Amino acid sequence: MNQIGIYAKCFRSSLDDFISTGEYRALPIVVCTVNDKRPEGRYIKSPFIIFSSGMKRNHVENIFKIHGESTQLLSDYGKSYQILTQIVNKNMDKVIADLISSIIVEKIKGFQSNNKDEDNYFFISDLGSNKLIGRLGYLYLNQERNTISFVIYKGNNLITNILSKEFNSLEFDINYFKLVQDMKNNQSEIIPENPMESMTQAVYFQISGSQRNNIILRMDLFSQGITKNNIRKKVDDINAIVAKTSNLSEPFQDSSTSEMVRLPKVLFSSMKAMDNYYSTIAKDLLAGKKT
Amino acid sequence: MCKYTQYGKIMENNNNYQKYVIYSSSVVKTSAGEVSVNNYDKSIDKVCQHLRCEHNKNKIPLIITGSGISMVGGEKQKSVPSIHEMMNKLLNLIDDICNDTKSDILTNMIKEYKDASNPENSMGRDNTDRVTEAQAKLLTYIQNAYLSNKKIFCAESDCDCLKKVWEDYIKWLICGGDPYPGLRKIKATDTHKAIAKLYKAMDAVSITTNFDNLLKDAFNDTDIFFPLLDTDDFNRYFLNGAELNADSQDTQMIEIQSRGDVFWTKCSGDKNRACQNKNHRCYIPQRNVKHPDDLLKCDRCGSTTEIYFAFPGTKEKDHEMSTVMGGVWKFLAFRISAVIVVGSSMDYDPVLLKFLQELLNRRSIPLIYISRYHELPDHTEEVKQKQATKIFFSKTTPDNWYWARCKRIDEVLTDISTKYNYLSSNPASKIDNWDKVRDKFIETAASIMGNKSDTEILNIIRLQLNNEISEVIYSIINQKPLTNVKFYSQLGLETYWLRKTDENNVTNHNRYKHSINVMIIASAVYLSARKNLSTREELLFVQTAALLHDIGHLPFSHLIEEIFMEFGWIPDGESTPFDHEYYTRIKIDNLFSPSTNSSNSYAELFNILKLSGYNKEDITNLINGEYGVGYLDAIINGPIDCDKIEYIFSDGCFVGMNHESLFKEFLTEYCSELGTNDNCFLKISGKSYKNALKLIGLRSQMYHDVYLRPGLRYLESCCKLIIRIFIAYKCTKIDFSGVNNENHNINLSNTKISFILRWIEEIEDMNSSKKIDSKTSPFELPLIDEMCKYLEMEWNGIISLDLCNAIAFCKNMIECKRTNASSFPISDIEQKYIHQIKIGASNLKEDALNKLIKTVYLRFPGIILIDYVKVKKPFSFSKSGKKQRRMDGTNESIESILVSQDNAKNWNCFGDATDSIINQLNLPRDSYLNLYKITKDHYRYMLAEDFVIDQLRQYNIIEGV
Repeated sequence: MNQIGIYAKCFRSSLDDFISTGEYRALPIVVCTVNDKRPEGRYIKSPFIIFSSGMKRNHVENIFKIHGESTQLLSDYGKSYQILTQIVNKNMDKVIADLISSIIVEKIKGFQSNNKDEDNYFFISDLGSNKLIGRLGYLYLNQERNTISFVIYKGNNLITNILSKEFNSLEFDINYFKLVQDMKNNQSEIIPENPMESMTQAVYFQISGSQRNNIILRMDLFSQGITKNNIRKKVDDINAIVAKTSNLSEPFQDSSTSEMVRLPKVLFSSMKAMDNYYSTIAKDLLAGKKT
Repeated sequence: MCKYTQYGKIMENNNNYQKYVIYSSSVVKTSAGEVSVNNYDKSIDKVCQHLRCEHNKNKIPLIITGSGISMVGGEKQKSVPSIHEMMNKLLNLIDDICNDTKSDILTNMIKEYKDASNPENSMGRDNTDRVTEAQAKLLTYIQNAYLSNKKIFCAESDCDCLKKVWEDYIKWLICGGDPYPGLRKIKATDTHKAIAKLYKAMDAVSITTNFDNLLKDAFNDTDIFFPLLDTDDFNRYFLNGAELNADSQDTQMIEIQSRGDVFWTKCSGDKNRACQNKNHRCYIPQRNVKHPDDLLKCDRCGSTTEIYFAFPGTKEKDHEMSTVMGGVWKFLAFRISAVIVVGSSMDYDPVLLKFLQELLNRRSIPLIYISRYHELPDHTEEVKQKQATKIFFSKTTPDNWYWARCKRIDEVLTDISTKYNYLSSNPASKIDNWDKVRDKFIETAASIMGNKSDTEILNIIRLQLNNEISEVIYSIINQKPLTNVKFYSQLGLETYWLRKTDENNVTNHNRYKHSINVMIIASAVYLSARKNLSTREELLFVQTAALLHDIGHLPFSHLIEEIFMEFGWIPDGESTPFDHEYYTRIKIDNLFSPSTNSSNSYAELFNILKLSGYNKEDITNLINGEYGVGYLDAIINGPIDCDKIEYIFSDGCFVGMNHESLFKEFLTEYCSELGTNDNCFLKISGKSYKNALKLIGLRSQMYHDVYLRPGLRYLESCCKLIIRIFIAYKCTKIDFSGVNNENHNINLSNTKISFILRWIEEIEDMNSSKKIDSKTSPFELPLIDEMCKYLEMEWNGIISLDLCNAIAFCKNMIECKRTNASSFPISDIEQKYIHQIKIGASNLKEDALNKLIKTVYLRFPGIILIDYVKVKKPFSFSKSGKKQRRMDGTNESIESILVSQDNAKNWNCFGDATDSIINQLNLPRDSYLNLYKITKDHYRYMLAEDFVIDQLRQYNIIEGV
């Protein structure tokens, strides 16, 4: 069995860099950890230069989807920085999806050439973006040996689309509480019930946390073209993985929500390695220096 | 008087951003810095050379004039008042007439206006918008009080006095008052006269925001000069232009009044209820009015009139201005060679400003902005940043935009016309005996039609058109980008599926042969349309564009483009997904660039451009159907262009629909009554029009019987499935780490597109070195083979088993083996594997269907595919011929063809005649949804089909239980 953790992040020029260089740069980095191996980063060596002073008018208009006089809005650095950040947030999913899907395919091919009978479990941090799910969808991967799951641990994202449509927030809290209470073998029912309704199926797992509380993780399993029974089998397999503490990281406090979190170890390793990539590579590239 | 050779100066700031053409040696103050560069002469030279060159190509300059042209030259007191002067007069009248009765609303509005226009309150900032808004608010209120417009509230106490104010104000404006002489007595300025010279020198057209009609005075009595005020005027002028021949000398000149609505009276008919002016707009100023009071009476019957005077800034005026600009787009916009803005700050003309922005964004034409500078008491000059200059002259100003600042704007215009006249014009070489040459082209086009090899057709051309086709055309015919399209079947894999027998003419039905025949047909149509006005240069231009119109196509006809579109792949610097038009532009660019065209042929190609006088952008624009000269666009890319004539007949011959014998007769008759008018539109009448309708009918039939045939759509969907998976996997091999991302796009589309195109080129090279045998099958079939092999060899075990089975199933279908010589496998496919559902035109919800297609594709891998077929319009327009929203609020399509209505004297735009043509041809109106079975697993297919039908009901696309 192979466990692969994938963590992606997009770094952007700081406002100071933007003002001093006149360029807004963005650099997506994807870090991948396979089993106990050292995490490896995948990034584009020349960052995206989204904006640079003196760039051609039609480029400015293409990026900002504006014409003519609206370009004057951009004479204000602060305002430009804000707009550019929004544009990057909106569009970087596509690039990250390309990077992640090529890593997944490359890894599966690598595992296959080594040993055909092994099962591969991919743990990708956060919600699968529509772009990534679409790209994986067009690949029609053989799911018999490969399980791709998106690991969600941040409070706001724990609620699924289906549940958020059905309940208001108070009702959801009650249902969520019930859901956790009713968990059998530390896993919830599969949401949505009919696999045709979504390309991913969500399941909540209860994993051992600190002494006082257990931790809830949501995992969205990529489930293109597979039957309910096969999904059930994949859920059981993942449950078995997260039941072993050796497959998990130590509990840690998430900086944004202050909640205690525990992740698959491979994913946690990728996450930790990302800090290192930022300080050794991204920082310089964003400031316009060559590494 | 200054001469442009002596005093010109250009001001540039330190960063080489802003260009000021300065017409004196004075220093100009700018916030950006001051550098004098003496290249005024060079700039004028460049502009004039461009104008002269474009004039030879039937392009004309557009002059945009504002109130500045009526206020310079002559004595100041004889100028048309500025908007501020007019406002001051109005406020004085209000003070005099309504002093005691003013409502609070009116008082507040006046205060608001005064505050906004007081420079002390602006704190040094530009407050034009605030002034315009306050001004428009006040004027709309007064106007409504005068017209008793009940829709908008007006205090009763204001109504009567404001009516009097308005009447007195109009009288003052036209008849004057000390010291202002009134519009009746003002004469054309030197600037008007300079503009009139430009009109005569280069067939210029102008758009004006002025209501004074002074430009007319600058012309001689013998000159025909008139304003275009509204849509009806546009139609009358552009549709009924005179038939051109070499002897006619057209001297009609027009001024488009973008505020044609601005100043008019409407007769109430109280003295004569049958008066022709009743409820019609009559334009003023009436210069022959003897007494001011007569202004308020109808000049026909003496009834009272309402005077309407729309001021800048009102929504109503902007809307009406958009209508006028719509006419400009429809008939003129792409024919413009350069824009010269004179005396217009555009501060009060947002619609015109947006029109100009849109035009300049679409075309890389020069902008010459001419304005006056003001001398300050310390003898320096002040540069006021107006709307137009702020927008156009910034850090991103293109090299061919010039800002000329001067004391007398008429002198810059005079310099332009002097220099323009000084430049020699190369006379175009006329084609003698155009009708005999045309007949030879028709004869050759007919000889080529049918099953002939590339070598055979080249021999026919050499034999029959030896003197008619220049050697440069042969050198294009031998260029690699064109010879490469030999590999691409004219109908993609349909060429293979529709072949009459296994050993048939598959390789003879390719895009290379198609391109050559389009060139020959286009030559015949061009000569028929232009007759004795035909020139060798223009013919060469048409032939070059016709030959290159398909070089951007990829194998599989449009299938790969559709997949790129599904993936949302947008090339760098573009705003729409990859398509063959984009790729054609790239290929033409490479072909005509010495840096990228590594072959020795560049010199020859350069020669072609030099000989014809056209550039590569012209060729690309013409191929896209937006060159701007109507008859040329109509021949190369219009609803009944030569591309369509060729493919409808050659495809018809290929599939055995027996059009071969009809072709010569068709082309001869189609060419018999073509013509062009003085506005450069293609005119189609009589036999030509009948044959154009015949072509449209044949096209509809071909769509029904061939292009949209369910069995063929099924096979195409099978191809798309394989190509889509191939591309998805192929792209995972790209090493993204080395991608250069300095192009400001936040996606990797360009890298992926280039990667796939490179792969296709490699296969093409293999094909040309005969590693792949394509004698009996089109290039596309081995390409599908290569894709399947790649997926099997590289990704076996990684792709899901269901998909692998579906790929094998689809490949088997695509190969479409015949059981015997007479069998036609497509009929079998239609019976066994397709479920067709009819959809009424009103139930076709494209967004829902596209979503469903994607859902089904992703959720039922390798089981079912769906596809819908819209009612095909009988003819298609190029991008410019379709309605599209623009910044200036217009959405008119651009016209290139006029058709005769009842007889050859009445004309209509082809676009506007669409509905009547459709009715005349009685074409089918239903759309279809096709469900394709691509598996042998019947049970799983039925489950999927149930899901699809359930979804169709949910979306109300089909009804019933």
